[in-house]
Amino acid sequence: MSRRRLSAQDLDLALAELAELGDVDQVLRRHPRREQELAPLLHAASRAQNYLTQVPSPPRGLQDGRRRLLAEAAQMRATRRRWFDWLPSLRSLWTWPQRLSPPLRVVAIVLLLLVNLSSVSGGVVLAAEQSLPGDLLYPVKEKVEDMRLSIARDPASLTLYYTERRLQDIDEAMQRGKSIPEPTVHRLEWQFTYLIERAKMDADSGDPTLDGELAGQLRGQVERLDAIAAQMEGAAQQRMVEAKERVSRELDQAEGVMDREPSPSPVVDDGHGKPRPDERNSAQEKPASRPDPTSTPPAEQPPERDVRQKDATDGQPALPTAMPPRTDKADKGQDDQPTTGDAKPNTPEAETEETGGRPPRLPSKAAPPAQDAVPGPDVTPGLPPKENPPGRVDPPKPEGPQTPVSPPSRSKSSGDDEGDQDPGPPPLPSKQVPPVPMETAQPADTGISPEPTATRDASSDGEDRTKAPVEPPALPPKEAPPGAPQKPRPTEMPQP
Amino acid sequence: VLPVNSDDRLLQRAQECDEAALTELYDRYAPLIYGYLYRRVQNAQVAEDLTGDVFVRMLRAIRQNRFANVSFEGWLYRIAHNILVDHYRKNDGDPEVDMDLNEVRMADGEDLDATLTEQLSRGSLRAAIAHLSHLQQQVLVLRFGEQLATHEVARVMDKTPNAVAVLQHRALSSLRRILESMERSGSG
Repeated sequence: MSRRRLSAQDLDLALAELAELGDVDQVLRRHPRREQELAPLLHAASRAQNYLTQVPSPPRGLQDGRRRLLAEAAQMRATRRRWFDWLPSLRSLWTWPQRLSPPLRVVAIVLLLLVNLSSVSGGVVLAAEQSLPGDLLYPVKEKVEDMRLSIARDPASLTLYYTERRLQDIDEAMQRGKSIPEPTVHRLEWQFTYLIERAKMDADSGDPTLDGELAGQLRGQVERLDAIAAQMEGAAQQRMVEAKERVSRELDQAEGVMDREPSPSPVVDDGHGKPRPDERNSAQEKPASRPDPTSTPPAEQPPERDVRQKDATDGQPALPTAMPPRTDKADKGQDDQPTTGDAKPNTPEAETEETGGRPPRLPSKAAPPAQDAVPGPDVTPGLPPKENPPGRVDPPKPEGPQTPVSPPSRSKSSGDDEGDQDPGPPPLPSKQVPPVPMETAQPADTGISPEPTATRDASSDGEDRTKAPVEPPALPPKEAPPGAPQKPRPTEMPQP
Repeated sequence: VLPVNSDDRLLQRAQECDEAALTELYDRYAPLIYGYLYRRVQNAQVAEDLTGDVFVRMLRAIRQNRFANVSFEGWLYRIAHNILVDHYRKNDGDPEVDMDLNEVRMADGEDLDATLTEQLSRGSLRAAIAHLSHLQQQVLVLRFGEQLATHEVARVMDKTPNAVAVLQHRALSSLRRILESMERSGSG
């Protein structure tokens, strides 16, 4: 029968007995069967032990080592502890996950990363809040504004607050000798446009308090643009002056709309199922020099300001959260465009009085949150797609023979005659525009808009678009109150 | 984390470079470390120098709060082992350079033959141990020189007791073969 070989544990036990007994023979007598294997190993261990236990005294009595140790300690005491001397003790900071179980380790690491990420991003946002136009972080500040606007219940009030803050930023940046970048001016003008459209919608909704407050504050802010532009030089000043002129003109026209009393008026369909102003707009107020969008080649037409384009889906001004493309040509083209003033079709005196003679109204507060809920039965606030800049207010749908249809597509081809029904894009499920009578905001828009652009030609319904080139900005769909009252709204424009 | 079973107060004072605490630690543990180093290098002067290095390195480590999770004694053995490795690297890894040729001394009244036999036996043992690997040498020194139990050796070497037992078995087997070979060649 073969015996098991001597294992390391067997030898270890025998060595323990050797340390206890001190004699190899006594150990071997305890393990007679293992004697042959154990004997040479135990003898070797005994010889090694005898050899290794003999240690001569240190030649210098270990005094040199003590001296060196104390000298080192004295030097350390004389030297202040450096901050990185503590770094090894920080090893526990990255070794503690090793003591956790794998699932807990993953959770802890993910939480730690989230905390770090939120801290860093929060720090950047906080730093961006203090930035000024031209600073590296100023775009972050604007993006944060966009995000807040996209979720705001009252985007108009928030936009008004942001325009005020932007004016302060520009003012402060100029005092520090910084140049104001064009996108900042553009953004400011764009937000003004949005607010003006909102003010017009407020007027459409028949709430004189709301439109008065909003427009009054707008007037005050627009006048501050003059003071800011006066401090600028060169192209920046020109940009600011142009922006101020455009905004002021739009505001004048909008105030003309707001001061009118709502009156019933028939509305013609724009060919897309959308209620359009009556023929007075198209026949009388359309400038003769304005090219017909259906006949003019798109390339020859100055580009339309996207901020005035209309989101036909909901009829609300689009939130100024996406900067529309803009060219100087578009600005010039708009400036050259005659301000028709057809937003105030009733009396020229009224227009003069409203635009020039009336002092700016400065209400104590901006439009209340209820304002953006439902300015009118045809207005449903909501978030527009990013590529849809604010534009003209969508005219409400007339009562009677008009039937509610889907909003016209922006990309519709030109050449549609009145009465043509453009299927357009399918309406959003929650945003079906109810049939309402035409409102008077449309004429005001017509005077603001520049020449119709190729884009609009391709997407508009032809003449009606030309008549009312300023399209209402679309409002976000989520702002649309589902239970908004669907009241017919009279138009003041007589039917031709 | 302070070493387990260590004199915490002494170490805390040593951390602040307290001279009395350092002196006490040195007097308590320096002979132990010197013996270990001597058994490894077989040269008293070198072992004494290396002992000083061990305690200087210990002071730097406790100033930076670096401790191993072993007893203070075991931690000193580890430092000594690292110092020894550095020493071997400095001398091209040849431990033979540390052989103390002046170590052979004869005590008064000793029999010359017995002394020579003993010295030859020690010389052969030294040569045989020098042929072992560093790990085998370390386990033999700790196990039979420092008289540590297997589990204590395991903690110092950061190994399992089973691994130490296997290492010990191989070291003794190799030592036996080398000694037998040397004796055969000597007698032949």
